[in-house]
Amino acid sequence: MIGKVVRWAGLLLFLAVILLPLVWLLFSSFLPNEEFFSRPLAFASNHWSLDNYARVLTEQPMLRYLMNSLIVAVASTCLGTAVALLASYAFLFRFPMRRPINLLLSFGLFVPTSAFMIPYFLMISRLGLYDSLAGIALVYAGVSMPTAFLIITTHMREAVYPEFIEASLLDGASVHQVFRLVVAPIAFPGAVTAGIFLVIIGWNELLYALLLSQGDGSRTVQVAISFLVATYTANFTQAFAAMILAVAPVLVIYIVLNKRILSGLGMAAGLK
Amino acid sequence: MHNRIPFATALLYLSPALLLVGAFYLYPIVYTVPVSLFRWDGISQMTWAGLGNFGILFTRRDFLIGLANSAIWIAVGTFIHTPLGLFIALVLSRKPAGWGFFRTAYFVPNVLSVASLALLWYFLLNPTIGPINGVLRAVGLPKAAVSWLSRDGSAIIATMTPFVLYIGFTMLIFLAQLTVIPREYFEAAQIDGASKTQQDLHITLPLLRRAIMINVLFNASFCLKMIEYPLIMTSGGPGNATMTLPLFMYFQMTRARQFGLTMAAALVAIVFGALFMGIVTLLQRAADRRWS
Repeated sequence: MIGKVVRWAGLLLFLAVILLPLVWLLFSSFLPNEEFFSRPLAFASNHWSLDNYARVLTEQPMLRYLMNSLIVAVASTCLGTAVALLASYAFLFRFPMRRPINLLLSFGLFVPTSAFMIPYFLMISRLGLYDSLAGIALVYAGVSMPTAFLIITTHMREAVYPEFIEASLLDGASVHQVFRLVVAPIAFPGAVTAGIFLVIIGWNELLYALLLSQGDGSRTVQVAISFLVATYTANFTQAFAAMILAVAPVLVIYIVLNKRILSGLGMAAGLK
Repeated sequence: MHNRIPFATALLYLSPALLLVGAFYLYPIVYTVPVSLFRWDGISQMTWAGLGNFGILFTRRDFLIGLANSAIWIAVGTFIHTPLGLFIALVLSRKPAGWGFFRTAYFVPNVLSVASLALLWYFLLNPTIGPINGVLRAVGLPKAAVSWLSRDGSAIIATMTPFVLYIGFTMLIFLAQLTVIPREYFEAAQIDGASKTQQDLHITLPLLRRAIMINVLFNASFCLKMIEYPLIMTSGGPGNATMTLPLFMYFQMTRARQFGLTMAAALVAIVFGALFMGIVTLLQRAADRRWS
């Protein structure tokens, strides 16, 4: 009994450590800066307003940055997931060099990709994509393709029975028809799960966006907020509003889809 | 039981993926080796430097501190963050009331960008208006309310703290593996009179070795890539106290425009990562032999 109480108290305490800072950030983002400075720990106020948000959205091209992030995240996700889906399909069959190719497509999961700043920068520059959303999206798609591949193959192994394929082939369907008509519909939920992950990863990435963009036209919201400390040296609550804007989309995705995200991750890691 | 297809057909489906992996994983590794042997600013002619860049690296304080700090990051990921995630997964796996909610809530920071979390902690640790010092002062510890991010000893701990606490991902991988352990194992142990802790030590831990390895590798790769927390919270300072390998590379590339030197550092990071992976894999094999 005492053990249970202690365990619960521990879980609640840890919950506070994890969530209170975020709640503090959210509440403070509605405060006038002066009031925040006079009592920074307040969780209640008569002066809550959307002022900081209005200012951040009008005084800076914040909507543009948010839009850029959305475009980069969605474009890289479509490319990365589609490529991974195609590759995963091949692994429902036996073919020469199956194992080494599987290893080749998966080893990237553990590579410290930040070591590739210069190669990526030079590649994207030479393709004429420096300072463009396409350049950033292309790098994201390439870097996160192995993640999508892992999630989709794991799901396929569970959901697609070899007998299905065998029967369809015996019925005279070609390998391509089997993909279009049989496997793609069954694998779709797995691809969606992978897509959710890639959107979150793409939305959140900072380093390559920082290296591959220069002007507002290709600046993502993560790059924009990484400059906040310098932009709002004194106006903290306005910086908080910008931070909330930068995390709100993924937070909403997570609140709506958390079951799917958590079970998808568990599946990709637990089995295999 | 799998159907067989010709290599050419497989290649049709594999080629886009192979192209991406080739461009974004293989080519950069291959390209890094020769360029690390040149002096180059990214624009003008490259000049041969032989192993000169590596010679320079190992006399540079910022590089050596960055290398050491990256090793410390990995050690913290392996010996503090991973065990904390395991501990919380073990507690949640006993399904206390509301465990599903706790699991969902603990994972929240893991879907947010590291850049925003780094900024959050930058403000949390602000010496004058930050709530952490506010709480310390409120509970009568004004002496403990220091400038966390500008002191030599506390700065690196401060940049690692959010990472250590945000165990959502690690916890989830452990939980996934914990749910596939057959119940009979524990029932048999219970009949033999083993306590819960004994069961954890002698049944659960050995069966979790795969999840432990996955977590250690994922966390090590995350730590070896770490740039956001030090970049945003301290810019690597005070001095070079919070420098990491990627942050060193970032500064060398963007500020000093020393492309050759950056590539030499990148090669050190890649080799470092590969060595760590090799060691963990060997340990895993040894563990497999011991417990199977």
